[in-house]
Amino acid sequence: MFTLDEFREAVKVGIKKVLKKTEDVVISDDEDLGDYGLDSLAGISLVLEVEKSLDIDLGEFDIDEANTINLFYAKAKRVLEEFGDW
Amino acid sequence: MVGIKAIASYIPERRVSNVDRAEEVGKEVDFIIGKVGFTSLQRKSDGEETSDLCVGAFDALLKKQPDIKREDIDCLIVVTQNPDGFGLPHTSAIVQHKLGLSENVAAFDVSLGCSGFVYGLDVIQAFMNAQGLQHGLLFTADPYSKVIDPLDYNTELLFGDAAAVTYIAAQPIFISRKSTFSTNARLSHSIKVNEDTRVLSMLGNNVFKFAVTKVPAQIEQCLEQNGLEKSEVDLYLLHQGSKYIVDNLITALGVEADKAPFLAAEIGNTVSSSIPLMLEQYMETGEKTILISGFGVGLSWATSILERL
Repeated sequence: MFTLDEFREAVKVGIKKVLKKTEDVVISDDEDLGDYGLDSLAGISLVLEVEKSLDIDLGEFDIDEANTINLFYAKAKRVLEEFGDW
Repeated sequence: MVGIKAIASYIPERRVSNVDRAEEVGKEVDFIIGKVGFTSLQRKSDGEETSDLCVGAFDALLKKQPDIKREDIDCLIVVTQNPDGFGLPHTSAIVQHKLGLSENVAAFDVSLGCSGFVYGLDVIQAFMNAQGLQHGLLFTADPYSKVIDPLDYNTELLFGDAAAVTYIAAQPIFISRKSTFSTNARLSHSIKVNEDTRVLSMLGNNVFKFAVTKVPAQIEQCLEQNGLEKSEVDLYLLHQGSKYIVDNLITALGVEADKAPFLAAEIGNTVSSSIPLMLEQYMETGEKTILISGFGVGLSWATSILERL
């Protein structure tokens, strides 16, 4: 289990790593991750980074349908609830 | 003991540029070059069959090794999941006929995708050693253009057609050490041909996650089984699924990028041929220990170590 704050931090750290940024990531919860520079492949990498950071397994997760932090969090929570890991 | 004596390949002439049609397919050129990695794809002509690609590879082998005699060939394997016709008769039998080989040839197909070269190499060497066979041909030929949906850019921008033949005989250049094999059919739907439409579909997120988590773990396992440290491997020939996958595998493995080259930029992902197409380029170079790792359809993944004699 994790809070939205913890999830947001994991996403930001993940974006920084995936996009190889040196500066901290500033992104709002409703901002489109694509607009931040994450293409489809980087989005897949981001899911893996978040999984590693929070020690979770989101299974067959498609981030295309969860392109903001809020949507990503909601979908991740739903997936984990469904598989009993929440 | 038999091992890899020579490798040759056939790459069809027809070329499709991914860069030239970037706008048409809705992709940035930078994305195609930097992430997909395939600037162009080689495609067989409409009239070319899988067996014809094998014949092309064998013709190239004879140019490299003119001392090979057709009558000496006693083993022939074709690794493919896109055989001639509907796979009956088996493509290896068709190749035997087209090459004019004798009847005294053990010929069979192996149905595997991107892990197929690693599997095929162990299968042909073990089979030949067990049966005392002397001159084997391991073909890889899996022309995905037969099953690609031309409007599905998740797959259409990735796959190229090619074939390779690996000549297995005594006094080899490379011998195989211990291999590691894995299968997970729970995710088999991630790369499959639809039974009704007969076109390929791929879940890129599943394939990527599988590739960058399972493959590095298997490589570590294979190294351990062979008593090797990563630093003792001179070259990592990783299946050329895409540049993004290879780049991420390099990061996950923590190896120098120049030890795990991406050499398929102008050919495409040629499935089971991607590793032998690379290995062909290193037959005469000095690398002593080469790790090969293939992964994909199945999901199936396999890793082995080649040692130069």
